[in-house]
Parts: sequence; structure tokens; C-alpha cells
Amino acid sequence: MAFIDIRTIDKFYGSFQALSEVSLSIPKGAFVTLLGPSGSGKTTLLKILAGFEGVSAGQILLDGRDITALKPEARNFGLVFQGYALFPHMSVFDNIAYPLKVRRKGRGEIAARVEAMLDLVQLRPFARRKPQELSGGQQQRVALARALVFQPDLLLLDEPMSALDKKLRVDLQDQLRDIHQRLGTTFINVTHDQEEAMHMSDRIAVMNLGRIEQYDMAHTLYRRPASRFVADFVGKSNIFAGTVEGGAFATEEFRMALPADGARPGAAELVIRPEDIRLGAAVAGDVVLAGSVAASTYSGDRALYSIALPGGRVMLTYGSARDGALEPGAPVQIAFDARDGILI
Amino acid sequence: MSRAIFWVSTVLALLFLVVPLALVMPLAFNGSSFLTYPMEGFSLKWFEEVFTEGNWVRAFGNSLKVALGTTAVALVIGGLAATGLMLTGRWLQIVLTGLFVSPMIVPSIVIGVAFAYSFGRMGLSGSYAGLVLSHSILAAPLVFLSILTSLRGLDPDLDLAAASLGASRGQRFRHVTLPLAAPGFAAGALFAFTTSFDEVVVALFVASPDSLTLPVALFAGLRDRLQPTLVVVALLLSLISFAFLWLMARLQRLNAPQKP
Amino acid sequence: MSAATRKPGGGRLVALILLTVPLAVYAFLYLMPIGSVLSLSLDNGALGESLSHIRAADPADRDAQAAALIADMQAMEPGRQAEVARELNQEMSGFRTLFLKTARASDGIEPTLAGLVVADPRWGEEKYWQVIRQNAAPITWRHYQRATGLVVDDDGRITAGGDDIYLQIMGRTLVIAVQVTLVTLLISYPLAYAVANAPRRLAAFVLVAVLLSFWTSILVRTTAWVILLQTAGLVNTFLIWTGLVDEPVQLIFNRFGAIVAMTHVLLPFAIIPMMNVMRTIPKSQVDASRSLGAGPVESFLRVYFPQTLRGVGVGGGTVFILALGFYITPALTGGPKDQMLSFYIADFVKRALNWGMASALSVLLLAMVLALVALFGLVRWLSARQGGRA
Ligand SMILES: Nc1ncnc2c1ncn2[C@@H]1O[C@H](COP(=O)(O)OP(=O)(O)O)[C@@H](O)[C@H]1O
Ligand SMILES: [Mg+2]
Repeated sequence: MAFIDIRTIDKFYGSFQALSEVSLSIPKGAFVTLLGPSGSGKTTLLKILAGFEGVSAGQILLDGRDITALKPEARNFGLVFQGYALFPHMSVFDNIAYPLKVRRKGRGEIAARVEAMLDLVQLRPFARRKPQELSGGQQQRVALARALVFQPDLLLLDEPMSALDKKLRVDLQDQLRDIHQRLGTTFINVTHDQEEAMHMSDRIAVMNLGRIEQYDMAHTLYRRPASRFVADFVGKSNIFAGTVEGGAFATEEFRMALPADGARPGAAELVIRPEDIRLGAAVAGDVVLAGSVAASTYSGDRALYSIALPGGRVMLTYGSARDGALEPGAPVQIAFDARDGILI
Repeated sequence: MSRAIFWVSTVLALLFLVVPLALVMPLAFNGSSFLTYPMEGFSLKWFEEVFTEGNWVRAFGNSLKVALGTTAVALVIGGLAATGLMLTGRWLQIVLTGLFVSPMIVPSIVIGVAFAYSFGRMGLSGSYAGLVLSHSILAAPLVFLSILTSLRGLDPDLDLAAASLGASRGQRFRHVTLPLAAPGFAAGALFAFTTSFDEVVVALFVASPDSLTLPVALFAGLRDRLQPTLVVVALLLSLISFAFLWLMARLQRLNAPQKP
Repeated sequence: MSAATRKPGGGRLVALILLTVPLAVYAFLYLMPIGSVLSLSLDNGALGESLSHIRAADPADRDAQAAALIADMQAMEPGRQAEVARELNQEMSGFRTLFLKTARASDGIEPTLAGLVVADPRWGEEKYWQVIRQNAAPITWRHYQRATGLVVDDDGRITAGGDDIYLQIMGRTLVIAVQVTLVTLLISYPLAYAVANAPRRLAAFVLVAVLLSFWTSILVRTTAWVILLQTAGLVNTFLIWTGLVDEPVQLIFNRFGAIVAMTHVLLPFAIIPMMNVMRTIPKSQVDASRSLGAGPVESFLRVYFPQTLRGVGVGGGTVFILALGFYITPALTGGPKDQMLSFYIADFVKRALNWGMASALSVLLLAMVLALVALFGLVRWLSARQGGRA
């Protein structure tokens, strides 16, 4: 049975529907990420989980117990805020000790547990500082320690990395995954950054317009997107609109065998990931197209090309860039294996 | 040309603002009883007169008592009003804010008449309680506004964070809201004290000869006969105001680093 | 956090509990006293309670009215008779003696009009009966009639036949408030400008001067002007010393003194909002205008000044509303012809003990202030709607 069971939640703000029929079940100890563009309802769902917002319809079960109407302070969920929400009048130590103090723990126990947390997030030398005297990454770790020190049943993180620079973000992602593995607490993370989602989570729920589009492991999400939105939002993709008929998929540009069985005839879309496209060299049986380089983005190890096809469509693909990128206007041939296509 | 306009107008306006008080205050130390220059020597005799004359000392004591009482009462009214208001819905907030600040726009003379009549019927005329209560109504809007401003300036996530960490509403108020809004409460207290300490009009209607406050005594003195003791009292009143202004500036500086 | 967000733990009940005390205090110590001023301005006092027979009598039947008046007089205690006589006298002088004389002899008077005329021939004059009839109700408009100079005749028509002294005073109050507001704005603008734009040291100095002035009590600042402007005061000494005048000039207890002192007292209330607006205007805007070819004066008038109008409006509005209700400063520095409405309100309470008139004038003053506040609110709302947030 699922540890957290979110059952068909609707949330209305006035007449605006921020969440519709959101269902999610999360096993104990999992690291789940809510991924979606800004305004898709991630924070709303997190606030409902934390108890700051009520639901318009639906239920939340924790270990089979209905907690939908429980006050936030009675839920025992840790929460890391987007801006961290550290108490500016308390030291790092006092911030972390706060949840233990309101739980009336003894002095000795508080000191021991806070120090253990300080070690976990590597902030022991900063215990006496005020939050304003720390860097962004350190503040984030204080927020994490404060949200974990009382051994919550669930840790909620609202875009915890969004205020940090790229390099620091990757370091902290590693640390966060490490902490998750050591503690075994259930984590729900919110982000609009697909790399972060892929990097850390066991499972990802992709949200769009208040709905969950797909809830799967990162690999499945990438290789088997359930909708055009997921295909587009997770990773780069080339999407062709066309029709399925007589065991084949046809577009303006080409016709190919179906990548998998069971596709129903009618309108469909085909997704080809850029890395599945071969630039220049074709293999027998490939779909082969001719075009010319429209633009290239050089990134050292490789280059990302936009290839313009005669019909005007532009396709994305990667190429080796050891000898520099191809010049715009250069004619090229691209090819892909029909079996790498994803039909949706 | 435009620079000349700027400098001339600024200097003239500044002189108008500053010179009257700067010229008059030194007369408190004048050796003679004429309130004009040139001063005839330096003397503290008018100070001595003020400090030894029963009326002035009593009026000062009354003012102090009333101002302290007003501070306490207005702090309770304004503080409860502001904290309560934060928990209500948007429309109620607008209506209640209007009600709570409205004594600021009612002319004091009207409030004076209203209190003089009502307190007469309640048997509070001329009493210490009557003065404190009427000044509290004048001071409550200022306390309310300064506390409300600092409550509104708090990051709402801090309260949510404390709730998620397990703190009850009372604990959140004591541990998070109150310490962070403390400068607002302190500023409100300063406003309340000076409002009462400087108030004349309502006190004229509500005070009895026994509960006469310092400004009322000064007002009566000015209508009666000009003498250097009045300048001494005015000087002392402004020194107290300056002390409060200084405290207020300190408070703002204290408050500054907490709000990013 | 928007209002739609659920406050953790449902705050309605707690809000109610917290708000009970301030709401009760405001209701009992603020709304009720103000309300009592309103009812006092309409209350007919002793007259309304004591002339019940007159009220019941047929207004067309003179004899019945005479009988009713005598019955009312006989029902009054001597003290009440004196009070009624005093209040009638406020309506028409000479009524006190007429009423008291008749009341004392009322047991021996025949209860007809003829009988009363025998007791005092003045009862034959219609004007006395008119006053009596008009004042026999528990509610009266007479305070407002006296305050506005409007008269209601027997047929219920409103005519402008009365004494309009209080209308003139209201007009004078408005004129003084306008004069003070204009002078204040004129002096405030350069100071606010200096705080926002002058070199650091000067800006800081002006700011400190403004704040010191703001925190110094109004009475203290008025005191300074009384001492400066008196006949043997500093200004006159200076003028004589320079030889500009030969004998002291009257600088106080006239309009000049009142406006100078009120302006000085109200300056900070105009400067502070103006300076807050000016501080938000980036200095680079005027530079940009200059770089685009406009001269300094044109840049100021076209780019800077229009943006400061909001601050000028707030400052001017505040000063105007405060000036309308001003009491102590004009009372100490103005002459008899420069007193504002508040002076007469205080006078009615302190000297004439006429609460009805004091209340009626208070209500009119409050109405003026509220109308202005509403007007300013409307203007701000409209301009906010027009110019976005500008
Ligand atoms: N308190 C609120 N009142 C009205 N609309 C809201 C409120 N909170 C969020 N919304 C709306 O709900 C939608 C989802 O918001 P949110 O959950 O914050 O998105 P995300 O966190 O995914 O960016 C947005 O369109 C937002 O405007
Ligand atoms: Mg969000």
C-alpha cells in the first residue's frame, strides 16, 4: 500500500481551477519530483500536502489515515521553502532547534540532535551565525536541516535550488540525494528544471495546467512520453504530426514502418529524440532525409544543429564537433531508425 | 539661473522653518523678563522658577502620568486591532482599517466636544481615567498603523514555516511574529506617548484644574501673559520631543537589517 | 499571501476574540460620543420634554394653545421653568423675562389668549407663539437653522431669512484653510525637493530640520510665533533697529499672524508626502531629458514637476483637512476676525454652555472634513484608474 495516497484532488481559487483530478501514490522512502512549467500547480499541490491550503474535492491519506483536514502543525511534515523562510532573529542553531523546542524536547536531546544535523549538512562551524550571514547554499542547507531534525514522515521541497547558481546546484543535488539515501525519509521535490528532476528522483510527476500528465520513472518518461506535452517538456525532441494507416506512419516528409505494434489508425504524432538521429552516416533500413544546416550551437564536447528540411521544417540533432561545427548552409543528410521513434 | 532659483527658495524656506524656534529658545536663558534681543546676560532663574513653582511641576507630573497611561492603553487597543485584522478577510480588513484610523481625520475639537459631553454623563469629567481614555482614542490609530505596517512587512512564509515545524498559533505569535514586529510595537509606543504628551485641544475640554496637563497649562499661560517661564516650558517640551525623535531613528536603524 | 490562502489553523475565531476589545473600546469611547454629538445637535433639551401640552394642542385654536401653555407652565418645577426660559431666550431675546413672569403668575391667569394678554401684552404678538410652537418637539432643527441662517416658516418652507453669521464663519474657515494650504505648498516644495535632490549634506540637514519640526509639538511652535510676532517681540525690535519702521507693526492677532503660524505648524505635513514621492523619481530622468535637448527649466516643468503632483496632492489635501479643524494656533495668533469654526465651537461649550449649538457646528465641521476626504479619495481612485499605478 502506498505511504502517501493523493486521491482525485481538485482545487479552485474562485472560479479558476488550479488543480484538477490530481492523483498520486508515493511509496515509503521514495524521492518523487513534481516537474512542470511555472503556473502548472506544483506549489499549490505542495501547499495542500503541507496543510496551508484546503482542497475543493478529494483526499490525502498518510499510511491509510485521512489527513486532509489536519492542521499544518499537526502533520509532522518537513518543508523547505523556495526562499528558505529562515527565522532572521534566531541563530543557525536556534533555527534548527526550533521544531524540537516546540515539541518540548530536553536540552541535552536538542543539542545532540541539532549537532547531528549540523554535521549532516556540514555547517557545524556556522552554528552561532545568523541566517543573513550565510551564503545562499548554506542557507538552503540550514532550511533542510531544520525541516529534517524532527524526523518528519515526509519532506516537501519547493524549488529548493532555484535561487542558486548552476554549479552549486549540481553539488547540492548530489548532497540532497545522499541525505535522502542515508535517512530513508520520503521526499517530494518541486522543480521546473528537468535535469534536476532526472538527476535526483526515483519517480517524476509531470504537471501541466493543473493536471498530472504522466507519473513514471525518469527513463520511462523520456523514452515513453505519454503525451506531446511530456515529450516536449522532458528533453529535446523532434515532433512530426502525421497519420497511421496500413501499418505505417506517414508525414509530408517521409513514410516509415510503425515503431511498435498496436497503434490505432488515424492522426498521430511521432517523436524522434535528437540523439537518435545520425548525421551523415545512414544504416540500412533507416529513414533518410536531406537538408542543410540552419544553425549550430557549439558546446565544446559536441554541437547541437538545427537542420532545415526542404519543406521548411527544422530538426534538432547532435553532431561531433571535434573539428569545429559545420557551417550554416552546408548540405547534410540525416537518418534515423524507425524503431527509435515514439508514437503518441 | 535655475540653480539660483533652487538655492534661494531652499534657503528662504529653510530659514522660515528653522529660525523661529532657533531664535526663541535661547530666550529661556535671558537675564531679564523681556522676550527679545539683545539678551541681558545668561541666567537659569526662569528654569528655577518653573521647577519650583507647584503648578508647572504638577502639570508636568499629570502629563507624564497621562502619557504613560495612554501609551499602555493605546498599545493594547492598537496592538489587538492590528494583530486581529491580519487574520480577517480582505473586505473586512478594508472596513476595519477605515474604522481604526478614522479618529485621525476627525478634528480634535469635535472629539473634544464629544468627550466633554459623554464623559460628563459617565462621571469621568476631569478625571485621570477620562484623559487617558480620550488620548488613547487619539493615539490608537498611530499605534495601529505602525504595528500593522511592521506585521505586513513580515514574510508570510515565516509563519507558515513555523507552522510546518509544529508550532501552534500561540507559539508562532510569541516566537516569530512578536519578536520580528517588536520595532513596530516600540514605534507605536513612542507615537502614543508623544501624542498624549503634546495634546492640547481634547485636554482643554476633558481636564479639570487638578488634572491640568503641561500643554494645557502652557496654552493658558500664553493667553494670559507672556513671560520667560513659558519659553522654558516650550524648550523642555521640545527637548522631550527631540529625545523621542532620536529614539525613533535608532529603532529604524535597528529594524533595517532584518528586512532584506 | 492572498486572502484565499487558508491561515494555518482557521483564524476567524481568534480574529474575533482579538478584535473584541478594540471594537468595544471604539464603540463606547469613540462612536458613541461622536453619535451623542449628532443627537445633541438635534435634541430639543428641556423644551422638548416640557412643552407636551402645546405639542398636543390644535395650532389653529389660539385659546386652546393658551390653555396648553399655562398647563405646561404649571407642570414645571421652578428650576425647569428657568431652563426653558433660558433656552427660549436663545431663540428670541426678551423671552426669558416674559416666560418667567408669566410662569410665576400662571396659577392666577385665565386659560385663554385674552387672559394671557392681560398678564403681559406681548402674548398678543404672533412671533412669540411661533417660537413656542417650533420648539415644542423632542427633535429640533433650530441649531442648524441658526448655524446656517436658514429659516423654516410656519408653512414648512425653507428661506434664507436668518442671521448668516455662522455661514460667514464657515466661509472664512474655508478661505483661511485655502490660504494656508497654498502658502504651505509654496514653501514646502523647495524643501521637499532639496531633501530628494540636493547634495547629500544639505539634503540630510533639511531632512533633520523637517523631522525636528514635525516632532516638536504644535503648541510649542505656536508659542515661538506668539513671542516673535508680539508688539514688543523680536520681529518688531528688528524692524525698528533696521529703521524700516518707526513704531511697532501689528503682526499678530490678525490674519497675517494666523496664516504665518499655521503655515509653519503645518509645513511638515506637506513636506513629508511630497518628499516621499520625489525620492522615487530617478535622477536619470531629468538627465535624459537634458540629453534630449530640453533646457533645465523645461526639463523640470515637463518631466519632473508632473510626476510630483501626486505628492503635492496628498500633502495639500492633508494640510487643508488639518487646517479646517485647527483650533489652538488661530486662537493664539489670530484676531477676532480670523477665528475659525473650531473657535466658536469651543466658545459655545466653554462660555455659553450651549451644547446644542456646539454640536451642530461640530457636525457641520465634521461633514465638511468627511466630504473633503471622500472627494480626495475619489480623485485618487480616478487618477489611479486612469494612469495605472502612476
Ligand atoms: N492564492 C491564489 N489565488 C488565486 N490563484 C492562485 C493562487 N495561488 C496560485 N494561483 C494560481 O494557480 C496556478 C498554479 O499556481 P502554482 O501552484 O503557484 O504554480 P507553480 O508552483 O507550478 O508555478 C497559477 O495560475 C496561479 O496563478
Ligand atoms: Mg511555484
